[in-house]
Amino acid sequence: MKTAQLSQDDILHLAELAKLKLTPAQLEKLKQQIPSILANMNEIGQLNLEGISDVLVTVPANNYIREDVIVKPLSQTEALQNTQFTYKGYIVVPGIFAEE
Amino acid sequence: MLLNLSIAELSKKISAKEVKPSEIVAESMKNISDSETGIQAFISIQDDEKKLQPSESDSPLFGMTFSVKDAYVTKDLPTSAGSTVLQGFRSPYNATVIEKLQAAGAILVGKNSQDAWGHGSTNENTDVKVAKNPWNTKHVAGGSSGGSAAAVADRSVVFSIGEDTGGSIRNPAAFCGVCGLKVTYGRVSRWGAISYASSLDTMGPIAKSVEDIAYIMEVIAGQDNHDATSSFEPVPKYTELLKQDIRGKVIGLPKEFFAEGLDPEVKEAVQAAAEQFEKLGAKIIEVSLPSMSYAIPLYYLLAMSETSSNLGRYDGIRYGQDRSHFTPENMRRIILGTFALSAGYGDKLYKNAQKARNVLREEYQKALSQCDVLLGPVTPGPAPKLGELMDDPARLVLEDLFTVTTNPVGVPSLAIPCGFTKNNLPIGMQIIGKHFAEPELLALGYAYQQVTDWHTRKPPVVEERV
Repeated sequence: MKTAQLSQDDILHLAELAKLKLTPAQLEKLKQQIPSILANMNEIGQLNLEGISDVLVTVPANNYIREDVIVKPLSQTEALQNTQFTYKGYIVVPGIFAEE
Repeated sequence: MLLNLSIAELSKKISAKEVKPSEIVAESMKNISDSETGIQAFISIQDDEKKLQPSESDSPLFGMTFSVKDAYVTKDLPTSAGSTVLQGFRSPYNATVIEKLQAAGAILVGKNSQDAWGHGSTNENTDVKVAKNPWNTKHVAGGSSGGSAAAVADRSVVFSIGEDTGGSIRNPAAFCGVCGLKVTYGRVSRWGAISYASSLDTMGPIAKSVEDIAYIMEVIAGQDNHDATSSFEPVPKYTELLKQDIRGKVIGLPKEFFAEGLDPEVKEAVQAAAEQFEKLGAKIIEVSLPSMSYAIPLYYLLAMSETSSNLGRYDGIRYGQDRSHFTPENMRRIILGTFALSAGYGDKLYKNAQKARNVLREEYQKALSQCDVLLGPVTPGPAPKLGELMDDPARLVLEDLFTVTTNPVGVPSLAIPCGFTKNNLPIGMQIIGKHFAEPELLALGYAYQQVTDWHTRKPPVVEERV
């Protein structure tokens, strides 16, 4: 099995997916640090995992349906108290399809 | 000093009207202020007199001052998770743990330093303050709940609440010479605790003694409708079960916990503790967790994958600042987690880690079928010097070697002091049990603390204060 490795382009692509902008210095450091961490992560492939389920229940539990009780939700003011981007009681988000 | 006393002693004094909660608050405030420039265990401090009044309650926690890792959202104080991403954020609601403690009359005096988003085991990966070790401020307090452990060790609070995803309660408790409990997954509600890795995160107490931990657990444990993973398992009377007989208990020493890389002083202290348990009537056997050598990749694959997903919500739109404010360590974990989940590699990395998790779970079940509990060191060595591990991610993760395996399998683990190095730095051991075996762990810890005095020793900074 081919072991997972990351090129500079891969790192930049992953950063883009995660919406992180890397400075040249940050990218340089990641390029140095990632190979040894990846080598360690790849060790998981050495375990014999044939026939083992990838579904896991950490602590066995049963499902319960709670009582449908009406509780007081956060007020609009409370919900908006931490954002500076509001318009008539809504949150303003950056455009998705158009340029800003 | 009042803050040297146990919860039971303080509670008795409050009931007898010998001590007022306001006196405990005043002492906490003085100690916090004394440590502000040195130990730096606090990110925010409550200075509103009205908020420092206890609610009416007949709980033993009435009038006790406490702090929480800054990962718990609170209405009365800002919440940062140790990161400038959350600068200026004020939660409109309280975490369940905070609600429960305040309803019991405990008083929140401040919030503690931590590695940003829980990413670290030295407290140095933070944008805010780096907590220092009260035993020697040239050394780290541990992480990620380092501020909480330091605050208890230097007597700034009666107790504190931390959060453990891969050792974040136990590691700083061991480094700072205090007690910390990583609970069974689901034992304490995660509602309002900022998620690091949701399938591994557990909320638990840090305190001076095992007895104190039992009092806190009685208040914070239990099912919560806000957290679907919180357990319906009834909450036992931990304080009553403390004194149960431990004679005949079988304690397993996993041989992988005592292998190469373990500091000789730590090894000696934990072995001496095992002998002490033998004197108390327990039986010691050797057991094995063969997959321990895969513990680090297993844990990091799961934790980084989950954190890359959890930290995706911080967009700087609804609250906080934008994503450029993550630390380099945060970015590294987000990028690697994104990779481990990505198409083409997800099967090889994340899914394999989940499978390995099942292997580890079976190994734990097997080991815990041969004995009642497992005993081992918390960390490979005592608290490192500040800066020693910062630029060495490979060595940094080894600090977590003995703590990371419990979280993927969900079992509880109690960390308590068991000695000191010749340089006077604390050494910790952990007792690991089956799911929901907290009463058994606490009983063993309590019995040990009746015949040893490691947990009553005070850092020089506290001795000087008296």
